[in-house]
Amino acid sequence: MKTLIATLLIVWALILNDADGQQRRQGYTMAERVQQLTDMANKRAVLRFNANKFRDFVKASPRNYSIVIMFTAMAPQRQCQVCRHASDEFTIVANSYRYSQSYSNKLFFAVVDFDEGSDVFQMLRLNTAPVFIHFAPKGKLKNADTMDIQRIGFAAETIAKWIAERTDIQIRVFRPPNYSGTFALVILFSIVAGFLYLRRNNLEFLYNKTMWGVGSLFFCFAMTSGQMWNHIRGPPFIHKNQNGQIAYIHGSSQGQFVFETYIIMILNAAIVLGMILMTEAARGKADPKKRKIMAGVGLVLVCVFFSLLLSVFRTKTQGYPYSFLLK
Amino acid sequence: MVQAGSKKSAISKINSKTGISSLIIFVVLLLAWIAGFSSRLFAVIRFESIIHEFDPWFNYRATAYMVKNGFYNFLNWFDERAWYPLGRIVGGTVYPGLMLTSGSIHYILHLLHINVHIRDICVFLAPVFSGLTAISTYFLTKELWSAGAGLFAACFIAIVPGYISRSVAGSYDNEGIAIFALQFTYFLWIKSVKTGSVFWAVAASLSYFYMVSAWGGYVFIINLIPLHVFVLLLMGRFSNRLFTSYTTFYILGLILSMQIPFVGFQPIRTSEHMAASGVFALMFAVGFLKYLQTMMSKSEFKSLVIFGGFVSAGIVFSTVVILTYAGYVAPWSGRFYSLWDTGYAKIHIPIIASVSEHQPTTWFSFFFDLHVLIATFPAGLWYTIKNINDERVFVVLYALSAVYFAGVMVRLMLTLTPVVCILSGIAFSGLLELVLREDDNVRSEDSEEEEQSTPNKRLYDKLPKEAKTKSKSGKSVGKASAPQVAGRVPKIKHEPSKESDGIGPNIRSAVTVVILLLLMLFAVHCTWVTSNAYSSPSIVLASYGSDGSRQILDDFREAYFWLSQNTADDARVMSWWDYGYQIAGMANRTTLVDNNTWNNSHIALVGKAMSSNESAAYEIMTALDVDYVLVIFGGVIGYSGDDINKFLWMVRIAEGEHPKDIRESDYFTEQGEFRIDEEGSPTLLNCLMYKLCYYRFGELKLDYRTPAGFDRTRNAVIGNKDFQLTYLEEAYTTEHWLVRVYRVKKPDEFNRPRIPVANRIIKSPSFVSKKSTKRKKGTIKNKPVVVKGKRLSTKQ
Amino acid sequence: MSTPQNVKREEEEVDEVNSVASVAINDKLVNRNVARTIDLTSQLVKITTSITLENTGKDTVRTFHIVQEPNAVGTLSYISVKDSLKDDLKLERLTDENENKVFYNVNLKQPIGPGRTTTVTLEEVLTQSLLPYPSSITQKEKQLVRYFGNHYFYTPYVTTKQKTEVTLNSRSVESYSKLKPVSQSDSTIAYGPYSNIQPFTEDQMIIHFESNAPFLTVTRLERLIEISHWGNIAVEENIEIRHTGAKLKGPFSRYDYQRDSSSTHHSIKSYRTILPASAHSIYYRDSNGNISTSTVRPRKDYIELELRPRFPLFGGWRSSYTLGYSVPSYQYLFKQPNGEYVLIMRLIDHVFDDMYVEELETSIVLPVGVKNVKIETPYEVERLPDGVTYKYLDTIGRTIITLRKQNLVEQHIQDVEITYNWSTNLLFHEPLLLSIGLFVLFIIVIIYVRLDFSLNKSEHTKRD
Repeated sequence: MKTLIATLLIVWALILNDADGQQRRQGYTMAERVQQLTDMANKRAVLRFNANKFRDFVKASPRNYSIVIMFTAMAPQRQCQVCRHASDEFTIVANSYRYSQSYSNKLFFAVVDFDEGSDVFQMLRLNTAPVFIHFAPKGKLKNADTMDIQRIGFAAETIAKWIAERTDIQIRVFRPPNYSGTFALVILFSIVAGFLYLRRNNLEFLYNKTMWGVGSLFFCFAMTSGQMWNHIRGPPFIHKNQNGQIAYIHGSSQGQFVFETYIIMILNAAIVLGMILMTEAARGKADPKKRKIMAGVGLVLVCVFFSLLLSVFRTKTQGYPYSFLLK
Repeated sequence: MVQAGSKKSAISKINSKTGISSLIIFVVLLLAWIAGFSSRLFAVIRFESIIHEFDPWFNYRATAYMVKNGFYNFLNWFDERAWYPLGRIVGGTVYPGLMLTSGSIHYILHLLHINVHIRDICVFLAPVFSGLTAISTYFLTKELWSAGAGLFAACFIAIVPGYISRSVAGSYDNEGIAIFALQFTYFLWIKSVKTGSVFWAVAASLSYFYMVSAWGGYVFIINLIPLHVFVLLLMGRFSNRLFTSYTTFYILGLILSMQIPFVGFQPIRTSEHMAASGVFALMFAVGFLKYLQTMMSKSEFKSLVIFGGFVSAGIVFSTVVILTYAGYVAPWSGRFYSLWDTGYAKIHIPIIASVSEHQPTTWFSFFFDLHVLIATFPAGLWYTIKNINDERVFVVLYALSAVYFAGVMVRLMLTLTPVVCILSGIAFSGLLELVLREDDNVRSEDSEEEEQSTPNKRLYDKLPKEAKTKSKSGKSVGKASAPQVAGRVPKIKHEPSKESDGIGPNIRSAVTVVILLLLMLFAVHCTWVTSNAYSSPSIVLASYGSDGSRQILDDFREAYFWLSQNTADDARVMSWWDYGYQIAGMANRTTLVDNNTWNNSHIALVGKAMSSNESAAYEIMTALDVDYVLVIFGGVIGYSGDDINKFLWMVRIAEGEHPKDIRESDYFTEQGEFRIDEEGSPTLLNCLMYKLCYYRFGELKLDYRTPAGFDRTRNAVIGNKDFQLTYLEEAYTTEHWLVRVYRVKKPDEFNRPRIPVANRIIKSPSFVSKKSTKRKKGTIKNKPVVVKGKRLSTKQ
Repeated sequence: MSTPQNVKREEEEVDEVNSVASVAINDKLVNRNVARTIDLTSQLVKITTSITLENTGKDTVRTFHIVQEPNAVGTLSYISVKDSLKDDLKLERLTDENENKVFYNVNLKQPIGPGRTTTVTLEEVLTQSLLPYPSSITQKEKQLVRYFGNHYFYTPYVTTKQKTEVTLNSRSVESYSKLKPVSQSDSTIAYGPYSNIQPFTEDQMIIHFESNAPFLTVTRLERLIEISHWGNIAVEENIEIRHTGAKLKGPFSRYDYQRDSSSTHHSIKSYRTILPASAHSIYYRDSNGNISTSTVRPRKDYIELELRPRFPLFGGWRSSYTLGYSVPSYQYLFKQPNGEYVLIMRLIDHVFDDMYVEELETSIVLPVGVKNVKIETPYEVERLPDGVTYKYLDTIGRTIITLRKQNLVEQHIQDVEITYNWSTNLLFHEPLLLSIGLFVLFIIVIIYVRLDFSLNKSEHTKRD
């Protein structure tokens, strides 16, 4: 079957390689479309469709191939961050399909950008991006043909799984190995090493405890304010609900916003600063007036910011009885 | 403890001042122990002395087995009642430290003819060990900073929720004793680094051995201590003391840790342990460089040390990498790997991802578990760094690594808690020492050094030196124990009056008051959290009526006891893996899967049975010769943790192994929702789990406002109301329908339920299923053979 | 101590078996009038027979015989004979070799003169003689049982006049054997009067009726009594029970059970246990911990305990639990003038009304160092070899006396008497041990602190 199509296509190509100008007017036969798609797919794994390409290759029937199309809006003025990630994942899937042994002309990957094929969006009544739709060779568009990214997300693996469900083509996702992290590490190390080598005759700054102290304190604040959670879960910066007002603090104890964590970081830092100020004031041998002020400031810092912290905590806990200074 | 205390009181006869201070220390530690112990008893007082949720039940069962059959039989224990038909080699797959500890306590008590039931020992083990943890924390902090800080740290760790969460009475789990082992090992390590004596190093490695036998978290130690040594080397703090202690510790610790069957050859085969050996090699390299020092000038030598350190580290690292690729060294195991690549588990290991305690940590839970400590320990860290020395490098590293791990995984909050207690102890005592000090003289670095070094000797040396260091130690201890005295009112009263210069009496007293307020808040917070969050034995549920009256829902034990009394002794019960340990422990019946999730495909098979329709499930159940199926159903009382809410995980795990038969998307509606009412997807409404949970539930009217078959947990009327079960029959359902047990019928019983002839034809597949059963056997090859042989051999 | 394996009491009712070649029946005795009431309202069969004996002979009669029905030989649990003054008569069990019947030789307190009559009351309790039929029912069906008895009073003498009254606990009777004259008025069936019945006449009586009485059997009851001379006696009973009624067939549906529990009479939800009035610190638990569903109601002269098993018991279902309490010792432990102690406690105590205990094993833990123990039991029990146990810090073991008996009913709730010698200063044995131990510990610590065991003194100079 495949070989037959191939030979056919070659014949076609030999006969009218020049005359596809007027051929496009009244669409192609199936074999031709397959051929064109294959050629395009050989050039790049993800085909870029505009409105009429979409019409030619997707709307036209009969088809013996299925197309997975990502509808997206990559234009910078749309500022759709999600689309960027989505298209990265999508390209990964497409590439790993392109270079896998299960590669055939039964499945093609395409992308329709809103700014190129906006009428396609209207045709399919899409008003969000990104959307992944699988167009089966025959039959109408089913609900399950649209990938539910709200539920399962759009990681390359899940896309591949979804495709395997729709069209029984198994794609082993092969991520291009990401050396950037290691590179950064190596570069950092080399810089540090080189720096040390240059400053080898006076390495005193290495023994600057304040520097190390500040560094490790900052690390502690970052961790205890849940930056790692942000990194893994990727919560929104702040929450803006429909009637406009902004929530800085996540309501439940399960979640948190990025901004919220910054607040917490500041609160913790202020409390620590207060502690240190008080201790220094009690220890130091500067004039009593200055130390009094230091101690007072430290005291105020600790009281105010700890009570703030406690009140933020209270808002997230149901029925937490205790508070300090302010509710 | 008693000995230490009496020792103190003995000293107090000799020397009043040290006597008073050591009496205070003894009293404070004792009070810390008592407070820690009693604040862990909420569950026992509210309910009873019972083993808590899931894993503790296995530990308890294993302990009871060891007490009954002896240690060697325990090591060779092949448990054919778990993971039917595979069975489980228990002796080789557990950390025996916990069982050994409670087993030996049991043995000693029975030598004295104090007949305590092993269950009570297991229940109260963790609270008792929390006291020991407090004491070892005191010693560790005293080595690091001062006795006062130590007392603070001990009091903190005695009641801090982050540690209580794993050590309430009844939660009989490894962590309960492991934290004590952790702290004690670190104390001995610090001691050996300071003294450089082989004795302390050996003690440290022995304590490390105990830790290895108790908890998988020993990897933290065997990576942190080498890190400490490495950083010390980088800081050019190489010394013969360090060399002696580390080499002794490493060699002994390595050999000892390999004696645990479960650990075996991992210490030399897996990457988690490679850092230690690398540093071991580095140690010798640096030692060699030190030898070269004798024939070199100072400046070029320093760079040479650092340079040589880097080079040898690089060499070791590359060799490790090469060995890993050559396959001599196993790469990081999944759980550890997911610590570094934080998104790893979510994609690759659904079972790890499905466990709630492997999630990252929000700031909320940090504050929830540590309260004021989380906000104050950086101050302690700051001062530790400001006046650094060998052992303080260790606590800094400890803090930084632990805080990272705690950020990645909630359960590792446990390793963070002790160091947070230590550091905030340092912070508070550092502040209060100065605020409450009588004479306002300034303490320079070195004087402080010697002062906080003298108490150590006072504790460990004997009388003659006692006399020597009397004066100094007396003074310093007077200071050290001041914070504790601060708690008492008169001290605060007469402090300001004596104050002449400095920051003035008012601010001093204000600071004191505020600090005390903070500490009191901390105490009440700890109690509140402990009593509200960490003290429910998820076996017995308590529901509070509107009038505050408490009603106990004891359905789990009801069902398990029914199983144990009214089913055949070798009956095989199929349930989701959460309940495996409880069924084995309380009902004493054979389970298919349980909470040590070592065999993913077996779990997936159970998940497949639960999530496929009745006849398909029957094939699987006959293939695994299941006799009873147990499901947890909270729809009547609104219990949220039931099997329907866990159902999606079963589907996912089953789909991972059987993508052909199970598709997660089939269980969602067209809109991609998971609902159990009429709109729910037909696959869900007809799968085994759904039917077993809702069998005859459609006829039940809970109250007059809601219609029949209203699920209180999902707040919906169930979609599939009246159906009959063909291959199973209801064997028992508990009072509140929380646990439902079904009996799998034998092939000749199918005509029992009154079903029309039309359905009778459908039964032909079930007879055809003989063939398909054979096909199934292909997937679970040669299991039944093995286990039948096993059971026969055990029977006769 | 060497006490005989079978211990007896003077006024014991049932003597040990002595088998005779053939029992000499005094044919001059005539049952003038026999009135039987057979009580079938519980799971037990309680037969009360009042016999009017007449001596038609010349010489006075001191003894007469009672013979056991052949089908009741295995199931007879308790038998006693009272005379008209309501005091027990001594029974002597005889087995007849050649016609293997079981006789009881009753010694009358007042002999019957020639031509005189006397009235004795025979009381028998039979177990396991109500058989569920059908033997297995579904959850909704009713529980029917059958009783196989004898229309006539089975006796070695001629009976002039006899009538029998059978009491059931429900009026729904499936069928009953009709030997005229017979009449049923709502829940009682009256047989007779019959007259001039020859000795050893048998005629099977079959009654098939609905019985919702709890058919609950204690398959094993281990009763442990621990005496402490500090003033406390701890009692612990490990009880295994089984529902011995008609077996449950098919599924158990909680829905049906909750909707109308009236339809499931034959299931047992709870039962009452009677404890002594002075019992305190009562616990009710099983292998999985407390059973939270039980209520204690103190009554005037006893404590009523309402026990609910974890699950309702249906036919054939088993359960087991542990019930424990303590009582002050002054009510049960007495000091004789001759310095020896007497413990008087019940060999078996009330489990539930109309109980049937298949096997009882009572063990009594005596205090440390008791001497020459003597036991007196109300009826014949098997005494197992003594054991030894160790309690808190014991150095000398405590003797355990273990007694065992099968097939018991409520009438067996009687006192056992244990006498032993014991010296009071053994009381201070363990406190002394403890204090000595602590003292030694402190001494060691003091010595350890005062002396210097360190090898090298160079340690403290090495630190910075």
